[in-house]
Amino acid sequence: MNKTLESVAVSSRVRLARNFRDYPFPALLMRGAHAEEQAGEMIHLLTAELTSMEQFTLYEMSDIPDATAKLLQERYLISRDLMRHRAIAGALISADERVSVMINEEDHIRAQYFVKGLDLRRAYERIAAIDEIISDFIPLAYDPEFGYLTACPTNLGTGLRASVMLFLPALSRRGKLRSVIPALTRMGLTVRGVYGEGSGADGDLFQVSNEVTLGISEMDILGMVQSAVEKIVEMEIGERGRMKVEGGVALEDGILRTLGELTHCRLLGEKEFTARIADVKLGAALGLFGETEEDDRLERLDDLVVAMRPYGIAELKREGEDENACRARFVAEALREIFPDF
Amino acid sequence: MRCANCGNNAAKIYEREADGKVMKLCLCPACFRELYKDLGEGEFFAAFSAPEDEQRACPTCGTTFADFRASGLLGCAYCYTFFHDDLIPAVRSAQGHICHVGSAPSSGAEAKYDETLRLVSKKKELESRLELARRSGDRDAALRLRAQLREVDRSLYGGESEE
Repeated sequence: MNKTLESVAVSSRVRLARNFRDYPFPALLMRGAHAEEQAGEMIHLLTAELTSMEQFTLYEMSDIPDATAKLLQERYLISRDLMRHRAIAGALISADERVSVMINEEDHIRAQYFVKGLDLRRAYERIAAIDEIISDFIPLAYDPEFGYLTACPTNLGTGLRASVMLFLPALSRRGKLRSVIPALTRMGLTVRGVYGEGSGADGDLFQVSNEVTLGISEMDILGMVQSAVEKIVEMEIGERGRMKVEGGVALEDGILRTLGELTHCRLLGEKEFTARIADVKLGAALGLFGETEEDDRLERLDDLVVAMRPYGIAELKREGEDENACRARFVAEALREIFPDF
Repeated sequence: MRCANCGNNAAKIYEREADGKVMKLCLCPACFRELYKDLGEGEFFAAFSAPEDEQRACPTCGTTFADFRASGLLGCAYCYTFFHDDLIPAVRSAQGHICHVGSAPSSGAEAKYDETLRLVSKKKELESRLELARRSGDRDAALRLRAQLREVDRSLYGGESEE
């Protein structure tokens, strides 16, 4: 994988929305007299077919504790909306956590494949293989005119949403994103801040995805998102170059001080961590910490961000330890390992 | 009563729900439209012209067009056939197109589906009989049922055909 590209495109995700032809869509199904029975059938059917292909863990949302559900949510394996239908919802998650099949979210089936970096085609190929297995044994809601039928018309047609998570510190901090967003909207794409738009403490992470799912083929959707992302990557790299030159020693000083604080503090809140780790990632992307042969430092920082959310921390806490103290301890250890010379 | 926003036009009372509370707003229709134009998905679809008889219900699931306007969600696959003409403006507006050009599901899922569904019901039936046998302390029956359940599980999850 191209390291420059990977320093901007954090991960790619492709999801397909599908529905059983003969069951009411989830929001209605949940209100019916036989909701749990019908949902049980759907969950068993999908589990039976998919586990014959590879190892999946089934989470029945009504059976798992809140903390487990929140942890899955923090790791992007399930959505918040899935919990709205908790009594009838389930999720099948592959051992490597790349495949997640949500059952009874807004649609009966929301299958997604996740890859690191920019590789939408591979993500699509993998999820299309799973879709083939599903459509081979479940009569799906499909209409030649509208394509795959979904609970909301905004997902009709291919039911495909291709999204790429981008780390855009230079474009966002230097106000250049404002001109990019309208252009992307005109192309039929949307851009969302991962932690809430324009919050400042958003970790400079943005998600670009296709808005339209009908009247355009799967390959054209992937091509459209891919080419837009490549263009944004090019702009971000250019802006980073200018940022480094213009920022000079003051920029370097700020980033190294942040690293110093993160490796020496005793309490670290989630918001502060999200904002500060973005500075460290930017420093690594700008080459302020030197180059290494097998440079997986940005990837390790991204993994750290996911691990340091509240329910991830709960898994790591020592007895009686404060959440922010645990985060500070863990982050300091991880950063010393990632940047041993700094 | 004057509009609380512009202070010029005659106001009407609008009710809006936020955070579980109902708020009463004294606004003129123009200011109300201006201030609350960020519509949610359900309200977004409500902006499209509705069929004359909004209470006409999908014969399969009972969803009415008024339900769709309120939630933005249809009730079942058949709703798309039943409300076809009424849905076109909303689909066109959301998607820009009204005709699918992508992939289609493979045909012939029916037979496998029926067989898997049969196995799933058999599994459920065996599980409840096993529970009854356990409760009544009938060990022979429990052993027999457990063996049958293993067989069904093998067929369902092991990819083998049932013996």
